[in-house]
Amino acid sequence: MRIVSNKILVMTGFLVLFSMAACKKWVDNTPQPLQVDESKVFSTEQGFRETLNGVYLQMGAETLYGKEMTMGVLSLAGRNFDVVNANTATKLHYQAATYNFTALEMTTYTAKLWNKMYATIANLNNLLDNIERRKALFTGQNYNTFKGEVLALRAYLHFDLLRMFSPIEAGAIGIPYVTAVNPGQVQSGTVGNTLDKCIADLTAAEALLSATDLTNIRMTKWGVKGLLARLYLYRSDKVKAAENALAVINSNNFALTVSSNADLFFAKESLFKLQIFANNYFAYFRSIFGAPSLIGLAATSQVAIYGTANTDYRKSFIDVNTGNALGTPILPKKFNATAANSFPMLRLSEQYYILAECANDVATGLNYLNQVRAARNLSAPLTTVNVPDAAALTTEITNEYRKEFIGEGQMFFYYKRKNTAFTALPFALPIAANPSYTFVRPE
Amino acid sequence: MNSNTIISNKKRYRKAILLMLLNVFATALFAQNVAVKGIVKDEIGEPLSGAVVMQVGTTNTTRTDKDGAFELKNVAPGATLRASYVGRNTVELILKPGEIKVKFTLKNSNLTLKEVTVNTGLYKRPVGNFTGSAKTYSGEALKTVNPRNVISALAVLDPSVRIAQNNVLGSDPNSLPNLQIRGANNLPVSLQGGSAVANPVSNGDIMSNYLSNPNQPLIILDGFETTLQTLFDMDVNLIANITVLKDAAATVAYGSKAANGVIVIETKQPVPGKLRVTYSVYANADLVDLTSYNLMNAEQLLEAQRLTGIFSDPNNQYNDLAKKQWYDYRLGQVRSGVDTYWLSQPVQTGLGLNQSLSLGGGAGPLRYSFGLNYNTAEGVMKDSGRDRYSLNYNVSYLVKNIRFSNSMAVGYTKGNNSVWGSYESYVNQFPYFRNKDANGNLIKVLEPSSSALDFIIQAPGGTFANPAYNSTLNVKDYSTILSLTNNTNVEWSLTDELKLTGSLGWSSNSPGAEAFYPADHTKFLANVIVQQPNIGSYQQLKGKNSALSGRLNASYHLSLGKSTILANLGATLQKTSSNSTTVQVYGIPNDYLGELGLANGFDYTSVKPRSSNNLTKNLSNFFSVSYNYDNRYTAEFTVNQSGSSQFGSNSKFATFYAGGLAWNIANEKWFKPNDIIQVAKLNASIGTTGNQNFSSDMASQVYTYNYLNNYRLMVGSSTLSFANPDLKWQQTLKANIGLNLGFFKGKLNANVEFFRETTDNLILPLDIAPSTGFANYQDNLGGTKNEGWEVGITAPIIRNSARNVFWTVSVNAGHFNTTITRLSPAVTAINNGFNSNLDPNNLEDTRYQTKPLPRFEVGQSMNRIWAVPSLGIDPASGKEVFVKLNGSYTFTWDARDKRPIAETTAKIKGSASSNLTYKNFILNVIFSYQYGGYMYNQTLVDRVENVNLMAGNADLRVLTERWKQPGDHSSFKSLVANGAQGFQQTNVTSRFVQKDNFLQLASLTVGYTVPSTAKWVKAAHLSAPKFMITQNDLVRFATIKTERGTSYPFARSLNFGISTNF
Repeated sequence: MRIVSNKILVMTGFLVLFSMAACKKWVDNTPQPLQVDESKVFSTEQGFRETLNGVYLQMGAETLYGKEMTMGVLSLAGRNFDVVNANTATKLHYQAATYNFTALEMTTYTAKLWNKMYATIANLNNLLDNIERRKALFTGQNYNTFKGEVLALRAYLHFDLLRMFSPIEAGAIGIPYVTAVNPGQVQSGTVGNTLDKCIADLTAAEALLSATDLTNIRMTKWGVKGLLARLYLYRSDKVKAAENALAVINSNNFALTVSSNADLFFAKESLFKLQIFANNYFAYFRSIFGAPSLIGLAATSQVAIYGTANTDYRKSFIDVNTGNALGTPILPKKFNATAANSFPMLRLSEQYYILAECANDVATGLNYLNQVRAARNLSAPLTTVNVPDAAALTTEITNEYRKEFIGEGQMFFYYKRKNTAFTALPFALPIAANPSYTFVRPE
Repeated sequence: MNSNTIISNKKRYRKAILLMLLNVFATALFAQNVAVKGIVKDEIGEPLSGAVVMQVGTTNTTRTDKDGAFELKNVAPGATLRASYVGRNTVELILKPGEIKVKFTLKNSNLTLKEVTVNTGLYKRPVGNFTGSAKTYSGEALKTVNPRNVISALAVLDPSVRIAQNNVLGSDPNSLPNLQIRGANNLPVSLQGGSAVANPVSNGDIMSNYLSNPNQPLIILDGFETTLQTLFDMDVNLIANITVLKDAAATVAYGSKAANGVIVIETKQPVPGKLRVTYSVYANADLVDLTSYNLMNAEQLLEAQRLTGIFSDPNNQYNDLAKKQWYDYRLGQVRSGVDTYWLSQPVQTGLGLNQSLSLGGGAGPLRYSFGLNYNTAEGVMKDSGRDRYSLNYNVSYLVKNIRFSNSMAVGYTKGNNSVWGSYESYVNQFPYFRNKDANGNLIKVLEPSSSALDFIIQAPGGTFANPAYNSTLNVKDYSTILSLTNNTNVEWSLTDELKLTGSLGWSSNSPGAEAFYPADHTKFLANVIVQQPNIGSYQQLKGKNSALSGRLNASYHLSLGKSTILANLGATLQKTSSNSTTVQVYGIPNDYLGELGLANGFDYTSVKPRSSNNLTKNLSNFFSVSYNYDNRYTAEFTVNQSGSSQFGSNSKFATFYAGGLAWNIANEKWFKPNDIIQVAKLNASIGTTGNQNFSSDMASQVYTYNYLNNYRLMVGSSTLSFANPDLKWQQTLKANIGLNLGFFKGKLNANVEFFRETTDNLILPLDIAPSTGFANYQDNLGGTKNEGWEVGITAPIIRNSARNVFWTVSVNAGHFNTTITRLSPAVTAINNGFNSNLDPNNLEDTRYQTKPLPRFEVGQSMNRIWAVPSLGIDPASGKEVFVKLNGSYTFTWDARDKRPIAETTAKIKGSASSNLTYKNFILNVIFSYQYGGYMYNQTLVDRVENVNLMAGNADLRVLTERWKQPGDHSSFKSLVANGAQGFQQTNVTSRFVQKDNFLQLASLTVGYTVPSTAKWVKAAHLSAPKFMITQNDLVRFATIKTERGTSYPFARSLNFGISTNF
């Protein structure tokens, strides 16, 4: 009997020692040194901030907002520049400027762009997943701040993907709106569905974000509002667009106060700007405007856009003083200025332009345009005498967009939204057969 | 049986004996007692000496002599005689009236403890209760085959163990073999997200071993997992035996680590008795084998170069003239008699010495052993070699029913790589270059510069440096490993049936490597001007690996009538951690400044310090039960539960099962004793085992910090690959059927086994929609099927113990074939890459298709050679004629025309051996052979057709056997005059696919044991001194002739050994 009870004792000991719960914990808890497992990264608020920084760094990549989606491909497709030499410019940029979106260089680029945008979205989704799972970890308002920021960025990236890869019609095919890290493919809805999902994310973000956070190097509540105005205008909901734009302006948190031509990005007026790592940034813009590419704006075209008078700050886009007599290319002052590596993603002036476009009468519209013009040192206001009707107002708005957003990648979206005829695009560059405002998607 | 029942049995016996005695007295009154003669034999007819024969009920006992004969006097008629022998069933026999001659046959009893057991590393089980497939080889047997390399001895003896022949590294004493048991169940590592080459690494880290060769079997040393490196550096004298576990029933207790088979090493345990000292010494000589090289001499090479157009330029008269000047210069060298035999420059006869001393003994509860080993082995390349030092002790102490034991081993190994450089650089060297100047000093730059000779262009081929020159410098290139192991065991026998074992093992090793190349080294020759302050480099690697394992086992044993039950329950916990750091510094001007700290600085732009870290935790529980009925039927069942930190977060635990049945036909009642078959045992098993040889970050989401960029001076991190939380261990279903037969009373023993291993969840990448954010992810998507058989026949032809003459002949053969059964779509992209004319990863590599590249297709074997079919050389043009996929003929090679040509895995691989003991002499011969495999003769095509005569020497056949003029029937295509490059290129073609059959004398051993009666032996207080000469790889007959060993030559080894006890 003694032996039997001994046996039972020993066996029970065995079982207790190696009970499943203990085992799983032991095996699970294996942090890998140097490689940082997500459980480690997301163990502190700092880690969440670092992964968000990682997202901004990904957005600042050459393929995305660091180069091609701003001053590169999108600016060329947006016809910001007239000097685009087929021999010296990279093939990609030339194809973009001539709307040859089915060319190999373009499809290769757009595939990379698509993959990289979605890789960034996947990072946001994994971050969001962890925010929800570790809700208890956050102090103060941080849960709301992080979650709001992530949702807002997710909408921002999806909205830009939609504007590049889908036609503008609400019934046309949209893009996959990816909200989780999952190997399964998300099907594309219609453009309308995609926009609805963007709005849903932005609305949720707006509710979470604080109105008093005025940092503009991150996506904040005011960035969300500005983006909503841009988005509603894209789906032609002028009432809601104006409502959001007005909310930004009336908040009085941002003002058109810059009074010099030192910073042509007018960074202080940004609702959301993205910092591109300086070393990379200067290499990026030199690769476009410097030798051998030498893309740029001819002096005559500069005059055509900004007028003969030199009062408009923005006319300093190309500052002849930064070049030299030996023929070294003249680099645009807009990009070459110190701190120009904080790239504007959403600007206050756009909100004025949105209001001008949504205005019910020409006078109201001109009023909004004039406020921006005055801030840009154009003291003579536009009046209904020069701009008698809605069509003339539209022309003025287009002109203001061209002046304000040169090299920022916004013009492509503007022409697309306006469904501008390809023959009506500025500058006498060739246009490929069957041009389109829609990029070729890789899947 | 427990002690209580034994005691009560004894009491019962005593009573019975008393009763019997009364009977005896009674019968003695009536009958005359007689002497009974007889013989005791085993079931195969061999006499058993020392068997006890007694008349039941009396104290009348005798023992058999060495012929198994006995004579028991004073036996009453009709008495019962009983014969017994350790490890055998006891037999009783009632004397018939008048019978005075009897015969006993004692069969093997399966249940006695002395009986042969199979050691699975986790538990031991008697052969009779074992249904799996396992083979055990004694340390002595392995030592006789190859006293210096246990692993290659194992590969010779067991047809299922295969070592991939390494034609590059040859007999490099510092390269570890690539080991597999019963073939591979994995696709090449590069497909599975691992490193590109499946070469074993010798850094002492358990995990990285498997990552570099996912087919490597699990190696268990005295119950704990160890590295291939440890086995490679182990002193053969310490090994008691090695067991190779092959099928599911034998290996499943290891669960998720068992799929590649298991090699279990058991070291010698201290034997009780008075102090015993054993000393053995082995001296060896490695002789370089250069017979496979057939290079051009100075004159022939120059002629071949001329024919290739290296010294002419038809497009530029100016260059043409200058090149002719170089030709004349080199011709002058040839004429003056320069014909350096470069092959012999860096080689030597490698001498080695292995000395082992061990002490052991013990009295009462204490047993101990202590061993020292020093093993130095020079390689055949000068200055290369491997030195090993080790020390170990083992102490055990028994208190009541608890045995404590502790063993400790300390080892230090230093592997020197040859400072002479790669052997290839000597093979390639032009024989018309002088090696030494007039004063006998080695020349650094082999040819004067064009300006020195006043020629207008550089020499064709550029500047040639003498690799031998580096031997005059203080170059350092070595690796070291210091290892420390301590195992503690507590064995607690609660009752006779129940035993508990607890073990704790700790092992740690610190690998290190240093490589110093001073500025004067020829590798910097081309960069002297450009990188002046940065020439000379020093690289240092330091690492630390440790493994901590704990084990608890309970074993239970119960006999009830004819049934026997054995059960084992166990749990193992293991934690391994490894890290290493490599630093490289630049700019060391002089060779006497060979220190890391004396360098100019880091070349941080290109070479960063590297660190690697790995941490794994594993857990494995098993329960195994075996049931035997009447020594006829055995059933075994084992279940294992494995958990590992490497698995995906949704599948941290895996369960594996295996079951087996065995039927001992010869023990059936209807199986009549006959003269033909005496032993017949059938066994079959089926079960699943796992493979976890994949990197742990495939299963967990990993973030990478970005140090190069920052977001407003803040660091950012992002995740770049998709972790699959559902990633599972790879699972292999193994089935095995075996039959053991014994014929003609043990004169012929045969063993046949058939196996099938199917793996259907190999980890492979799967391409996913890019909108998921990732290009692909790893999932269990692939499948392979591996089928084969093994046959072993042993025939002890002469067994004459009286005259001490024994002769045993044995033959074995094995076969397997692995086919792919399932692949992921992503593999198509990889196949397309292998099917393009240029390397998709390196468009500059024009020689991409000169090697057969793998192709993975469902239903095809994994080891197929894919090449373009060739009809041979067109006698009219000297060009090769290829067959396109549509059957038409062409001169143009196209990667898309590749077809599966032949199979590299041999149909049969095995060995044949003869063991002869005649009195005190031993003669042991082992041939290993292979039949039915094919090989792409890469060295032949590279040395004859893919030659670059501008840069290196080539095979003589370049000159003699290549097509020269229309009408020539040659197997080698014509030389193409290509003055600009000197390149000749042949892409992979069926013309160089050759049969890879061979027969080689793997081992020849002659030994002599000095009789202990010899005077000098007595005088020196020795006991049984033994002399042994072993020659490895002495003769080789092969259908394929390759230059074996390109960067390190092959060697034949001769060993001489003496061992003795004091």
